[in-house]
Amino acid sequence: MGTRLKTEADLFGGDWSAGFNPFDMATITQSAGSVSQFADESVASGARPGGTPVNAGQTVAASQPTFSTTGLAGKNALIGNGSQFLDLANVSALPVGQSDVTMYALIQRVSGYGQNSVVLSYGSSGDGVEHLFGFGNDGPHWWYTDRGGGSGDFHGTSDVTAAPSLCVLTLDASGSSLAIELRVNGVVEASGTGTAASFGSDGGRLLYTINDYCSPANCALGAAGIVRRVLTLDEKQQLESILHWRQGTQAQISSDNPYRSAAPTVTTGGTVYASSIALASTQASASAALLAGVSAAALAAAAAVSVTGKAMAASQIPLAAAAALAGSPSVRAAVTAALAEVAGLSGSARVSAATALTLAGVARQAASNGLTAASAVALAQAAGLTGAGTLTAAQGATLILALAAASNTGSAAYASAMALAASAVVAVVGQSVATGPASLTAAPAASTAAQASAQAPLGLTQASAQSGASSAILSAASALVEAVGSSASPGGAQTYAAAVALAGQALAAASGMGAAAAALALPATVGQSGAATGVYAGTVALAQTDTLAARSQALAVAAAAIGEALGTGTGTGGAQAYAAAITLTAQALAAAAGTGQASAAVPLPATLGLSGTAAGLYAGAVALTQAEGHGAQAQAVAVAAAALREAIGADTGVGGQSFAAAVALAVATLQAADARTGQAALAVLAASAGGQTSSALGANAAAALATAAVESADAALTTVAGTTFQASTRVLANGGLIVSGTLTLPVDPAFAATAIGVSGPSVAFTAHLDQVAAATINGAAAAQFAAQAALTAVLQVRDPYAGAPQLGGIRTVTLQGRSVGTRTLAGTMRLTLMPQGSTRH
Amino acid sequence: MARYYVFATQAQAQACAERIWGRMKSACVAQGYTIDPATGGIVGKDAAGRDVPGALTLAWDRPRQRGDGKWIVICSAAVPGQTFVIDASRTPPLTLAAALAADDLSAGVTVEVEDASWWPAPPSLGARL
Repeated sequence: MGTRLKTEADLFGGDWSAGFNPFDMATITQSAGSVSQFADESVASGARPGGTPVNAGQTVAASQPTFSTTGLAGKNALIGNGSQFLDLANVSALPVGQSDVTMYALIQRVSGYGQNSVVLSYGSSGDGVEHLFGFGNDGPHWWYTDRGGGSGDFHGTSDVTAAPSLCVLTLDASGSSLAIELRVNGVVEASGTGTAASFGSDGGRLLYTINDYCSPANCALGAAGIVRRVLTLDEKQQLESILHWRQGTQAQISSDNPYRSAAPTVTTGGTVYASSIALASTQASASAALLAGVSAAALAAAAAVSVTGKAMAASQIPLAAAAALAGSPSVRAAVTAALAEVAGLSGSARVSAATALTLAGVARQAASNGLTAASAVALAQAAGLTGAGTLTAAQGATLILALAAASNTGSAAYASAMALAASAVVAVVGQSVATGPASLTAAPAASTAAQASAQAPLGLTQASAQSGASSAILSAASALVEAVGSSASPGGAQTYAAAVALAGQALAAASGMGAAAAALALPATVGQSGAATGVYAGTVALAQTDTLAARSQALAVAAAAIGEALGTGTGTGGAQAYAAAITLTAQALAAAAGTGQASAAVPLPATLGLSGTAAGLYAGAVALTQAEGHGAQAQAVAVAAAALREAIGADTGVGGQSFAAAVALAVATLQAADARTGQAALAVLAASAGGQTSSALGANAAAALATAAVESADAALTTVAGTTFQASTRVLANGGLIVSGTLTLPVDPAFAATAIGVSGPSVAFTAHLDQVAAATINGAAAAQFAAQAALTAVLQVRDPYAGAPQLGGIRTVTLQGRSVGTRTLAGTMRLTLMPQGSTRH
Repeated sequence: MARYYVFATQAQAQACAERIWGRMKSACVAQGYTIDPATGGIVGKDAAGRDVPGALTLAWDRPRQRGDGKWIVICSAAVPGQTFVIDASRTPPLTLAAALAADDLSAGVTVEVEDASWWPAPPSLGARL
């Protein structure tokens, strides 16, 4: 037996006629920042299963309230200004006629007098009999009237001040007359009798001011609801405690409330939540549902490495394995990007010296396998994801180790070195480009790789100590020159000279010398090196986005990925297509940087209606489709989409909306390019899924899954789409949570035509969420996570039909860092799997 | 207090509201919102960024008549997403706010701050307790 906090659903059960709870994010629908619908939680929570929801909505933008996560006592609330309100739908589901009713609301009046402000009303849209419950009549007091029904007006005596105020109104129609009571923060402010009236069902509103009378109140709503019975005193006190404790306003609970010191709880021990949730009804949505839950653990597991999650990111083992994968041409771009994510997910604080040492080992291994531009960028990002403040001397040394290793491996390393240097500059410069002068002539004259390696850490260290980013730039330039010089023989003198010139321009631009504008047109001496040119384009873009560090880093990744893809197509796609692609990429990146270069060579289709970053992605993707080697290009697009997701989310704050546009573009481009390999399709879907949950691995996880499934990515998609699960949850005495369920796969495709009436194999799963995890997740989400983890495990045995017996055992899934809605999860989930056979139905 | 455009006729006010609505819709589409083909309204999104088909926004504002007979529409300064760039090809990039302001300039609208005198006095609601 265990306990958990009691909710309105527990308290009211099926009598809960309507509930509005801004803490249930699933009930809030926004349109451009305003709330267009606030769904009825009494149905959404399952308290009234199958009931008609009394949703509140508003179709006029100017009249839509807003939602704030800090709106009332620093927590979630709906904000209205007196002219903003929501109309109730399906009012007939409320207690109409002569009925017992309880209405409640938690309000903070922010400003305004509040004359005739109404929190909840229903019964009639006209001047007929209508419940009006709010504050503002005869002063800013809580107030109730039936508006002509005969009971008159009841109001409290205390002002509704800036202090959060919870009012519970009860209307008892059981007697010969209507008994009315108004309780405010546990104190009865008004009571009496009236005439029981018969209320209609043709209208209702949430949060408004009657007829625009003077001084509408700005107020924040923390909760509101209607119950079709009269609450007992104990229930009222419990409600007051539940709502105040949830809002963090428990200081307002009256001293005689027995639940003042702690919110009421419910004793559990049996099943408290049960669901039968199909992962999705369509293949696309099923994939999104699955991939949204894929973790770094899944990625590492796909790489045949025993890792339990992001917390292990500092371990050398998964990184080394990932780095080894990075050397594989087939998975290079995606997995190296994954490497960066695995290594850097936990942020700057955890990128310690130990991690840097790990990265050094990775760098060596990656270099020995042929360090690519993408892996170099990934390494640089892993070492300094969040900019100058986090790039320690140890991490700088890591970069230099990689750089030094790369400088001796010929032309392939040349591009890698450039990428590393560019990334180092970006990481060091961070958000504020150095204002000091920088010129190559002043750079230390390093003549050997060893000297460059010795100098660069010094510069990086200086930058880290805020002694001047320009020093770091100079050192990076020196290292770059040295690396380029090492590749002079394979790359040719012309390339070498061009590279130095480009580096000089880029670095000068980065240091604020105003040379960025000159860089958009590629110098005639450039064009022989695919990845290098891509990096150049990225560097130019970076130079022009020096005030947008997050976006710049994302663009760097995108540019590197695009450059990588272009590099693979050089010589086969034709010089013209290649040159066009480079030009488009540069222009697209410049356009994305907002420098007025949107008039790229590829006109944007008018129907897309895109601008800014999304347009940049589109142009880059179009460029990719003009070259050959579609598989690599598709991956690059997916990585670019994931990068753009981060950039858009970090920069504009609009998150999913812009990202959705970017992903839509990527999908459209892939379809247009006729390059829809299973892996690419997975990558795009995963990128899309990544937009739903900030911590999802997105494209990288998809690539890992596709790798795990060898060549059967499409088969995996089919399996996902046909898989369903059933699960139930119960709370343990220690506060933990158990999810028990069964995952049922579709019948083996090889026998689908003849296996009528037979389901595929099942896997029973039990997930044990520890106390930390259980405190951050609800039952439905826990069930979903557990099912996703089970399905991920199924896919990792490659052939789930032949390999089901391998599934038995216990796996640990880290929830730390994942999110549901706006809530960040924590803790771990231990998953036990037990394969079962097919069943006949 | 809120700021409103003030017009002599309902038709003028309606035209103003529709002009703002057009700009707002374009900006929302560019931000990834879907337009409902049946109503032309903006489809709202839930916390996960998914479309909620039943949650539509169909207009910017509905003109209301003041006590003096004039018609009012809420000022476009309250339109959300003011900093969104709707045309990046311009230098500097054209934001929604700038576009709306330019529309105001060309339309020569009048803006007034809401005042209590605009509305009728509240009814007398005598308490019976």
